[in-house]
Amino acid sequence: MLNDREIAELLQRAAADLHPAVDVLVSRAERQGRRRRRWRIAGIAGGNALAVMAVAALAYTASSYQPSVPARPVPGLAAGASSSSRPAPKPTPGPTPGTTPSSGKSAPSQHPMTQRQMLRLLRSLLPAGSSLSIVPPPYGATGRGSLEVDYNDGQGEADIMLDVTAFTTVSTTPTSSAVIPLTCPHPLWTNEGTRPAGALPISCQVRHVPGIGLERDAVMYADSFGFYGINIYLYRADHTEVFIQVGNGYFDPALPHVDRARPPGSMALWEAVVQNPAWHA
Amino acid sequence: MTANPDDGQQDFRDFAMARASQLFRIAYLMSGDWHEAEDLVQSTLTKLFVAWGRVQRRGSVDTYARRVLVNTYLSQRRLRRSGELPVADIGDAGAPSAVDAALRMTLLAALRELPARSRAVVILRHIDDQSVDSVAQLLGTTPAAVKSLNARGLSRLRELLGADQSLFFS
Repeated sequence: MLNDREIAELLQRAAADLHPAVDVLVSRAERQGRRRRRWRIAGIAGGNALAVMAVAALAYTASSYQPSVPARPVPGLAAGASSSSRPAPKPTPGPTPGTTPSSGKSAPSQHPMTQRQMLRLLRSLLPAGSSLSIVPPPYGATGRGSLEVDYNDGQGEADIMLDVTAFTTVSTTPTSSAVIPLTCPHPLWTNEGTRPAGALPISCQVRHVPGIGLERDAVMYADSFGFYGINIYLYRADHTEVFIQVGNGYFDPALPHVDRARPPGSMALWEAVVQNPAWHA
Repeated sequence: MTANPDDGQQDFRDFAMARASQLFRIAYLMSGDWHEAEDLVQSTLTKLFVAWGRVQRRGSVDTYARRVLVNTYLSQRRLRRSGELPVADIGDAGAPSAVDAALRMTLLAALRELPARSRAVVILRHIDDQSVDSVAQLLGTTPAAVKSLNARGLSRLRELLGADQSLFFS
């Protein structure tokens, strides 16, 4: 029979050569943390967001896609927006690339988008007559690749968070820890507070968008304030992650103010926004 | 320390880069699944990122990270009920090399037989070198309970692994 010390040694041996992609984990935690900080302040804390990135049941292979989509401007809907953007943010380094060699592709080579570039593009994709204004620090996003705006389509203000970042490693090798997993929780989320009358129901769908990538479209649970949002992750074959979250209200300045029963626009509109190939990391 | 919020982010990054591997080892042995372990670590680091300033000021970063990791794991166990993955999936789920792969699979299978709290205690005590008191603090229980869980866990492992000693020492 093994004694306690031998069992301990076996456990240590078993764990000794486990080498996760630490830089990927940390970078993703930082991104999630930044989002969560805002939503936690708003009372949306909880582990549910983790379900967003659950087991890699739907991990996919970049090489199975068509060649990378070139970044090019795509005409959007008419732009009638106004802006109250702040001075250009300090540039910050882009996401740290992963290192899994099994991926035959490299991360996008362009510089991460500035907030002004993101605002300009977002504005071009939204209906005329709406307004957009950047949420300034300390609550708004900082640096390239992240944008937070207040959006008003004439029916109430809504907070929009948008992140465009590079994810580096996509592999069919199941041992790769950098494979981007994307799934819906089962069961779906439950509301923490009362969902406004007329609210969109909680939903979640992961789907392959032909020629573009893997996308998760969700309508999230309501927090204790009744605040919820449309939440879309798109992982493109060109290694760009586009994330958008469109709330049914705004933050004033840190607590949510539910301004409407439903987020502005439709799921289809926001899907079209994230799928626009001009986003680049 | 300055008032620049970026400094806090760098501190977080330094901590996370230094500790993530060890957190992952704990998570992997507790969960038995590479991707679930990644989720646990990412969850832990995300929560830590959100609470960084407060936790850092209290000087409890390591304790906080472990506590979040273990609590997240235990709460997931409670939620999943029958959600354990079959042992056959473990190898597919991401053992990073062939080194000790058979040992790892056998150990993971044995660990899976332990109740979640007992598994956590054994791993924290013997992988993470946490004291009985520390584990008790992490789990929100008494040192006596930790000793009991540890003893029962090791005893059960001994039973389960007994037949495989030759594998380990050959």
